[in-house]
Amino acid sequence: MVFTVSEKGLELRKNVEEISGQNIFQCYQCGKCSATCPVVDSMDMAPNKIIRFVQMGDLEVLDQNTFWVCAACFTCSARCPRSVDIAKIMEALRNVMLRNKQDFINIYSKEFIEKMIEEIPQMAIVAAIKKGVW
Amino acid sequence: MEYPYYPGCTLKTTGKKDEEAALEVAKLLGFELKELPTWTCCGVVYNLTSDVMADHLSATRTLIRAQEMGRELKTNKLVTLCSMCYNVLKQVNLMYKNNPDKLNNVNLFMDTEEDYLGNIEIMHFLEVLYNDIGPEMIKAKVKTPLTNLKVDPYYGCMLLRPKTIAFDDQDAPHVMGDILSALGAKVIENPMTVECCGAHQIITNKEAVLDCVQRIVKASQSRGADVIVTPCPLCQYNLTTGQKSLFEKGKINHQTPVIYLSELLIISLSDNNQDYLKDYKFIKDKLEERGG
Repeated sequence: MVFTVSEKGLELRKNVEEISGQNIFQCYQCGKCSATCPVVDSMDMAPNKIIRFVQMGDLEVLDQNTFWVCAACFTCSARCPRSVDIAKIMEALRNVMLRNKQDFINIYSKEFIEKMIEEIPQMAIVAAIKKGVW
Repeated sequence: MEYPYYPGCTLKTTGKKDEEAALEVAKLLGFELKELPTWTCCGVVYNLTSDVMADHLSATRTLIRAQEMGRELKTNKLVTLCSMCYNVLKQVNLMYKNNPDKLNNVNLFMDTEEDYLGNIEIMHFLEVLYNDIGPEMIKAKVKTPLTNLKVDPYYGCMLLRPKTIAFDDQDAPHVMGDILSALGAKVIENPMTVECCGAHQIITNKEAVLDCVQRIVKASQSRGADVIVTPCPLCQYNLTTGQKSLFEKGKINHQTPVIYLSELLIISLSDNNQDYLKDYKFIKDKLEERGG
């Protein structure tokens, strides 16, 4: 079977590789990242599958919540046997969305402003804004 | 000995208890944390992209402030109390060390500031306690040994990952445990000690945080911990409020108090620990259990 990657798929792959500085084909799909991820249960798609989709240039990857759920705790990066910095790939995918003007958080929404009034530490609010707003 | 000290946003508000206690601990152990005269946000999370430099500017400003103060105090160290500040400042600093070109660009860009020379050493408060003071010295100053108290030291992610910035073993850290042992406490080995608490997902995905908290706390409780000790204000918040929600949902049987390491240090090292013991009655009870 011949498998072709669309133009847009190739562009996505190139962007992710450029922004993250990682070689996406280093990954050999062992699944260690997904096994070790503390928030994998809340993800639409496990991290190793996300990487497979980027390798294949499948644009469906951008519809998943995985990279927004990622807390950037670096556990996957620390444990990857192929030294792929998965946290950087998640950051790259977030950036692909953000640079395309698709913010994850609306900081003017009622929900978000209510969070600010709660006694949540500022560091959490700033971190969420930095990860989810361009 | 005086150290330049960078507090960061949270230690002035929800993490105030940590700062108050840590500044007092420093005095008791014979050193002083001198707050930088002006400081800005560190950035909280290190920007992991290879092509955005603007996100590193706020951390760089703090490094320049430390450089200025370091000249006065004749030191190149900068101490932080918050794990996330430690992580960001150290990663930015390391990035400049590995890429002199980037440092040069930033210095050219921030031409109203003095040049950052790249030789500040970022230290977490724990590192100062462990490396510069040492558990032996702390042991010698203990006034109230914490005998009978089962403590679970919880590190979280930001002190130990990525490997390039870790000051302790990544999978089996011992620094907090050694300090707690010096105070006479019984240290519990929790396999979840380096697990993530969910961090900023508390804003957008509380369920994910509750999952993390449940795993960490259950492992801690099944090992009989009286108290969980953490150096990070966000871990403290997530573990405390997370347990409250989990308890209301009936997913855990009881709530384990989560306090800062600096508070436990004060209770053990200071003569005036009555205020803290009033706040943490369970510690008082435990200490009295051993017969006065």
